[in-house]
Amino acid sequence: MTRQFGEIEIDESKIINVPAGIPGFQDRKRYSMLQKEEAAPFLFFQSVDDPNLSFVILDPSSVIPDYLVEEKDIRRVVSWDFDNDEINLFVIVTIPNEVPENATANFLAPLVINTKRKEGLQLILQNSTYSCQHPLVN
Amino acid sequence: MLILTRKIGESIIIGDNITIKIVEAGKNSVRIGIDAPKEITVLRQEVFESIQKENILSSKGDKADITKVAKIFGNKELKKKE
Repeated sequence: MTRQFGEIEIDESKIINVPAGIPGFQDRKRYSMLQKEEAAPFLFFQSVDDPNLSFVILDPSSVIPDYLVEEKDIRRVVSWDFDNDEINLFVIVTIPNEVPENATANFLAPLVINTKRKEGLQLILQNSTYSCQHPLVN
Repeated sequence: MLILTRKIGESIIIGDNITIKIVEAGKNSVRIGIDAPKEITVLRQEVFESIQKENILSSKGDKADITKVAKIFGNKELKKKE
């Protein structure tokens, strides 16, 4: 059972591991990417181990078309090798209760997912001018 | 918390492979050099805390609001393309 989706089945082969956890939720290390038609283009990063935990996420280029996370910033932190086309970026969205038009997304600390390894992390960008509360609507 | 006093130029070693050096000390601030393996993230505390806080806020989002944002966002995308 999940809070957002009711009862769902998660395909074990699609689980994404987050060995370092996500700040605030360091003990949750397994997630699954879920979608709901009425929430598109937003997706959900659902904790496999905690049904009450999920994050709304979004493709950053739909807000900042030239959003850039440099390859070296990822290589600085991960122990695995990768090709650029194996990496997907997502930004975590915050929606203040009852004020959806004030939704923001965190461009300072994107979710970096290696789709081939099914492994991810939240990468906090150093020396970046991106905002952790970038407005989505205005 | 372990508290040590260091003079400028002196260092502290943590574990096997983390070194902290006092580079410069001013009246209200200190310049600190950090040598650590790349897998270890080094952050100013307030940066980590703001990311953590943002993550916690984000995780509390409500289903109904998400569909509203999707509508508003979708409309904005359509307007941009016009």
